[in-house]
Amino acid sequence: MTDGELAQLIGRAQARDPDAYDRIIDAFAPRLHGYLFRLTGSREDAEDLLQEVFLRVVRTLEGYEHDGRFVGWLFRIATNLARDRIRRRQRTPRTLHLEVGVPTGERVSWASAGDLSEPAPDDPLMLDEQVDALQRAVARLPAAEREVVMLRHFSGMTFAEISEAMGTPLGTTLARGHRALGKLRKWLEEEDV
Amino acid sequence: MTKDANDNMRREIEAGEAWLAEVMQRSPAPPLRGLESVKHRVRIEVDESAIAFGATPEVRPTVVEQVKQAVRAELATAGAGRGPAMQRASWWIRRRAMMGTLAAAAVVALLLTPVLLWDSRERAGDRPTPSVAPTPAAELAGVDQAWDDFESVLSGESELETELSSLDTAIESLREGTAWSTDVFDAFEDEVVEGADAAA
Repeated sequence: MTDGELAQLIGRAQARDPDAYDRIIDAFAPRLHGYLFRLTGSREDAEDLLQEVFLRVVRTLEGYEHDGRFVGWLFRIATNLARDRIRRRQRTPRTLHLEVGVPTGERVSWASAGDLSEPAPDDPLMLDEQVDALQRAVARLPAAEREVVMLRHFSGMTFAEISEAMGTPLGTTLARGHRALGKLRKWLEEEDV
Repeated sequence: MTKDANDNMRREIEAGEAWLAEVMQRSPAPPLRGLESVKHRVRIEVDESAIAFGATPEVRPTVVEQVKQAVRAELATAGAGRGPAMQRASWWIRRRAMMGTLAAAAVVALLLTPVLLWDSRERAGDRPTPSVAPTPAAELAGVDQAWDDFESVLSGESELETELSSLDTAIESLREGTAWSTDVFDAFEDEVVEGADAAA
């Protein structure tokens, strides 16, 4: 979708055209869902948050002025909602925990480690293990590093745009991305993924 | 950070991102379920926000059908047992009820007359300068007579005109016993006669 087409869609959506919202959802839902799944580690949370993101868009799009940064605006909404959800979840910890050998002694919940309650029956076992290993590794990252590396992957924003969206200096954002990628590579290589 | 260090870090990031993209491809997030549900919920939200801004909502077909069914059910209930004979009976009952109400109003007016007159007389007693001294015994006798007359009306022993005549007599006797005002009696008398006429 070109920026002109997107601007036109946003204008129609601001005029409360439901078809325009359908097209925006079609265009961004898959990437947002992947991002939310990697941040929360829960399929249910990701789907729930995805709906919340678009409801928030409906409620706030009126005040949005399109300047070519719609994707950043959208992912910032998603990030804030995911942060709130994770914070709430941490205040009400689950009873089951999975020790993953984090050097700092950090405990990672089942929900954070991945949605293990609903394995896809048709997927090969290796794929399940890889998903589990990747999600476990992502969950071990500090939240700020996890957000940078996932924003880069799913939103396609530049580091400068991420810096602006997160309100952090570019150097900090670059350093977080660099550290996060190094850690992920190290942990996954240790698990032979 | 020097320019070289910065460039070096960027190259490492790019390599790391390429590697992560490949891992992500091999380990995709679970497929998104319920996209239609998200769209549906968003449409409702758009509708509601449009209404909040003054737009008229489109009535949903299911709502129209529900209203139609409710109206049909109401018509069926109202129509049951209300044929022409029932409607005629209903009119007769209403007419009788109206006549009964008028008759009851007249009787109540007749019954209240002596009480109110007595009360008026008591109030008149508070007035400073009555020109004629009150005669309670005569008044009471008049009221007793009126009461007897009303009882006979209730028991059906006498015609209404006869009782009204008795009432006139009672009122006259009361007038004779009081001199403070005749206006109240005149107004009262008019009311009673009008009520009796209406009842007749």
